[in-house]
Amino acid sequence: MKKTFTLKKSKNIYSSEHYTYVRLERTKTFFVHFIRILLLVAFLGIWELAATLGWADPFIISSPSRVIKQLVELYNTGSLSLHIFTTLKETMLAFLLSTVIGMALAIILYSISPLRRVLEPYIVILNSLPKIALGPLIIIWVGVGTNAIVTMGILICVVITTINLLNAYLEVPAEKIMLLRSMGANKFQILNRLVLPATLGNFMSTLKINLGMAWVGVIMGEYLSSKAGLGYLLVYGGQVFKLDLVMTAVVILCILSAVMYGIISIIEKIIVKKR
Amino acid sequence: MSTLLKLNKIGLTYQTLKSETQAIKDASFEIDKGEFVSIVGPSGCGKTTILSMICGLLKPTSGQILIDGEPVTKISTNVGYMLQRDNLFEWLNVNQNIMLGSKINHSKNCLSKEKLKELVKKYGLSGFEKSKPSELSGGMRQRVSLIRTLALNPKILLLDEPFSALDYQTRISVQNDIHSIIKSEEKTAILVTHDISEAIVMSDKIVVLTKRPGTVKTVIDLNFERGSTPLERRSDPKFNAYFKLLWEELQ
Repeated sequence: MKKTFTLKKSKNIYSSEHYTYVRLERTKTFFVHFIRILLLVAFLGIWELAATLGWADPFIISSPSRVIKQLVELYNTGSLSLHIFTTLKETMLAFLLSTVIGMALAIILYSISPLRRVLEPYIVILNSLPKIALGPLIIIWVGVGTNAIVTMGILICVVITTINLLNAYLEVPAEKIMLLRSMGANKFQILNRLVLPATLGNFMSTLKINLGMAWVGVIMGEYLSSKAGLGYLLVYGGQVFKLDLVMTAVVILCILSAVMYGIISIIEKIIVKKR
Repeated sequence: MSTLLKLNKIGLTYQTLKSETQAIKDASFEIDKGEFVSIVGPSGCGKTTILSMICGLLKPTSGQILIDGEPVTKISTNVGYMLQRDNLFEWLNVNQNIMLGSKINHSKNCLSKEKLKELVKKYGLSGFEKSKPSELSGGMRQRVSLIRTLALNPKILLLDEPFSALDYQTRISVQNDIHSIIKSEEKTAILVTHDISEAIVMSDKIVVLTKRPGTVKTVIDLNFERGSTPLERRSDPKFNAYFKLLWEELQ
């Protein structure tokens, strides 16, 4: 008689071949995670060693321990949370506003095809234009500080959001639209019952792209004009040659964008599960 | 029997920048209430175009289409259109898919919820009301699609090669299912197909179209035993005779 096993998390009884297979797959997954973490630890370790053993000038390359020291210093002066929250607030604003505006534009362009035809070349030009070129105009038009920074963030995100969503809408199968029309649906119902739900996956991936772009836009905006924020720390640190400060700001940015990406991934999972 | 649908010298010409194509020319036929009619013809003869015109999605460039004596001028829920693929919405469950039409029309003229529940039960979908289309078999998906079409209580059902995406075995059994549903709900139906045997086993009458510009070549009345199912018809000796006749008409 064949031996049988019961796997964790499962009440079914499988053959020993299945058991071996599952164990092998789980071991593989474990190793992927293990090596991933090992890579990070090794990177930080070599970085630290290079600085302490004098392979490279720690003044130029900084080091993990210097970054931690810098973090503690910022925390003690109370400015750490100020810089983080300034940038976080600006990024969230740019992200949300550009998503809303981009989606509205995509819906308008989708619904009015003559307008789409007329505006097509302009959208292409706007998309390929380096938005940083608009920096001086932005400062003069909306003023320095948060306004300018958020505007820069929106400008960077909004065109690509519009294009991505519009393309997704246009790819909804014509047959499904015909089906709804034959049921007597109007344009709004087609949008509401078919186009928007059918492109939810594209919407979620647009959110992810948008988030990354919002960080880029906001840091760029803070380069232009700012009194606080992680972009401000980067510029200031570079100007006074405090590279510890620059590295610290980069590390904080890495962590923040990872956390926000994680949050969006979780939201995506919840929405997909709910459907 | 009274005439439900009448096509009177229908013509349709497509315009493109490069050319002008006459798709259909002077096509006329009539369909009685409760009849099951198939339209066959060489590919590109405008079979689907005729359905789109009956449904009101396309306007004929000449001639007139009458349903119950009323000319078709706009899209109306008198006509239920079942497309080539089932086109179920993957994000809605079976019940929500079935209710789609009544949501759009704010329940005007639609079958009641109780009646729909009855249909779901009668056609072997009970227990799957909350399932997503991806969890259903090809045959079940087609039945959901048909009930979705029936939910708007149409006078005429248009079926545009609804079985072409199914594998052969499933197709035979779905033909049986759909035929019996349509007959038991006493619906008038028009089926477009390029499958000669499908047209013979499903219909009371077959309209044969010529190649483009499509016009009615001939109308063949089928005299199978009343109430026989598509599967029974396949083994009826008349089946082969009709097959030969239709084959020759299409040459």
